[in-house]
This record gives sequence, structure tokens and C-alpha cells, in this order.
Amino acid sequence: MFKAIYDFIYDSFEYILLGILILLSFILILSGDAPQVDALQNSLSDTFSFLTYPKKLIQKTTGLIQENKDLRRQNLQLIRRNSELIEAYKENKRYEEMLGFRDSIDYRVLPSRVINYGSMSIGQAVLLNKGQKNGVTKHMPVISTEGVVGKVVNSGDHTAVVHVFNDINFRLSIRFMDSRVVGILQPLGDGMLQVRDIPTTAVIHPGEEVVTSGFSDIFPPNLKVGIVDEIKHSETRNYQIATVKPYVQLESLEEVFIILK
Amino acid sequence: MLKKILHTVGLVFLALFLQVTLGDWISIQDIRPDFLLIAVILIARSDGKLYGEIWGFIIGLISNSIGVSMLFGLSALVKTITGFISGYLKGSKRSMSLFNYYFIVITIMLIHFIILYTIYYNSADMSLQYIVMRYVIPSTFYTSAFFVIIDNILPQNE
Repeated sequence: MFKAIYDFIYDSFEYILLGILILLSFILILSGDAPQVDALQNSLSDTFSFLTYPKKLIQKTTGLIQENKDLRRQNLQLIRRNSELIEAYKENKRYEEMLGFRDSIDYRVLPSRVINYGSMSIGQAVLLNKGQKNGVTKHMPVISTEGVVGKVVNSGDHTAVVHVFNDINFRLSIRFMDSRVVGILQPLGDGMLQVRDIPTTAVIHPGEEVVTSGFSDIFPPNLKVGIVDEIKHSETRNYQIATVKPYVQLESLEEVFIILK
Repeated sequence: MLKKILHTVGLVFLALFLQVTLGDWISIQDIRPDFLLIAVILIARSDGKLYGEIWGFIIGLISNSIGVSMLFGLSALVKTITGFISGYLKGSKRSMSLFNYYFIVITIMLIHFIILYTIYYNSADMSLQYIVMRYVIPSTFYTSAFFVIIDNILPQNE
């Protein structure tokens, strides 16, 4: 009897193991938010993060000259812009005081360096050089000076993986700056973003700025996301579809800020 | 035995290194070759179904951790299946014509990418036809091109 069972297991071991591994994979997929799965993911991403260093080193060396040129040009523009903004800020403060508003931006940010971006065949993610030891935890928003980058989906001791806005499974609650209409932003897969189901009565125009709505538990309001590129009607003409061009260029992203909660 | 394990570990690290270092630079319209898939097929072809599925699972987990952050376990699932199927190729390169051999490899890659992309893009507002034409077929052929090169560079140890 036992010999028969043993023989069966021995003969079909490859198939039994295949079944076990497939089952294990399904358990991992279905329990994505479980702390044990998080811990496994975090330790693996920490362990293999060293593989990204050569790429970063090459990028750093080749990109410095161009970056320097760009920064000089940006600096000139920013000096001019800064004086305009100081004036606008003072004016805004006066209005806020008159209306009794308080300053609502009171979050702390942690600067971090991007050590890898989108090298796998599927999905979009950015690896950062800050992790739990620096106070980074799951679901923290990540921004750059240009705008929203994504959110932390897992953090090891010294690294964190960020689910970025152009991944096909990313969703973000946004608001159109001028028309004040809210919607859900989703990527199109070609670098552009899209907001569907906008009422036909809403007046949105190309060039309008898109910011976070603040309705999400993760992203605070008024973080810049992108600019409206095109407006079109749905096939049934029941709603409008806005194509949004993101401000952040993920391919050239080097430094980001993690908003600590 | 130890030599065999070291050989496989070396191949996995080489694939990981290539994926992380070159993956982004040689991407065309968001399509990247999957060096980890190539490693799984080469390991399975050399060592059989059992090693193919085990290494497929391990490589899939690593791939999920440093790349795709959503649906953790998806890469492990598809690479386990790929490793198992590719195990049937053991000893086949000598016994079958080159055309048949590469045709089977490309079919295995096609199955891999169909499962991977259809599950991953499930929530996206895209038709299956679009996913296949835009992602599955280009990824299959791009990865196949690298497979042919790597398969002919690496020493044959079937």
C-alpha cells in the first residue's frame, strides 16, 4: 500500500510539484495585502536591489553634462518666475486671511533617489533608495518637483518600490483646475493618461491643469499631475473623455520626494 | 551537482543583470525583451521539467519583487508553467530540426505572454485583441530574437 503511494508520488513528482507551485502562486496573488506577503516582497526587493547599481552609475556619469546644461536654463527661468510667485503668494495670503482659511499643506517630505525604473517586461515600477529605516511605509505618495510620481507599494529596510502613474493598473482621483470637475485618471499605455466619464455639461479645455482631488486617502489635494491634451466625446456621446499629458517624465526621473504621513 | 547549481545560479544572475541594466534602454514603445523568461527556458531545456518549474517559480518571485509590484505571484505563476512546458524540450535541440525547435520555443513564449498580459491588463479598458497585438506579439518576437542570439552564444549543455 505504502509502496504504491510512494511509487505514485515518485513517478508523478513533477506534476505534484507543479500543482503545489501553481497553488502557491495563486495564494500569493490573492493575498497581495497580507503582511507575510509584503514581508517576502520587501526582503526580496532589498536583497536584489544591488543589481541596479551598475545601471545607475552609468546613467549618472552620462547624464551629468546634459543635466548641468538643463539646470542652468531652468535656473534662469526660475529666478524670473520666483519673483512673480512671491508676489502671488503674498496676495494669496492676504485673501486667505480675509476668508479665514488656514494653510492646509502641512506634510513632511523625504527626498529620495531613484535607483531603478521599469526594466521588467511588464508593469511599471520605480525603485527608491529609502525604506522602512527612513520611515517609508506602504501607500505613501511619491512626488517630484514636476508632479505626482506614484505611491509606495512595498518598502524593505533600505529600498521602496513605487507603483507609478503610467502603470496600466494605476488609478488616481483628480480634479480639473479651472472647471473644478473631478474624475478618475487612468493610463492609456502609451505614456498618456485618460479621464473618462466626464459629464457632457462640464466645460474642460485643452491646456487646463490637472491636480489631485484630495478625495483619496493617499494623495493630498492640489498636487500637480498633468495638463489636458485633448477632449473628445465618447462613441455614444453620453460623456467626454480627456487625454492628459503627465508633467513627470519617468524615464529621466532621478530624485523624488516621499510624503511622510 | 554543485557545478550544475552554480551554472544555473550564474545564468539567473546574468539574466537579472541584463534585465535590470538593459531592459529599459532597449525598450521599444514600452516593449522589453524578457531575459528572465529566456533563462527559464534555457534552464528547463537543459535540466528538464522539475528544475524548470522550480527555477521558474524562484525567478518569477524575484522578477515580481524588483519589477512589477502589483499582482505579486503572477510572474511566478506564468514562469512556473513556462518552466514546466519548456522541460519537454530537454534534448530536443539535437533531435529535431532547428525550425521546429524555435517554433516550439516561440509558441511557449507566446503562451507565457498571453497569460501574463491578459491577467495583468485585466482591469484596463483594453480589448483582448488590442492586448495581443500591442503587447503579446511584439514582446514574444522581441524576446525570441534575443533567445536565438543567447541560445547560440551560450555553451550547449543539453
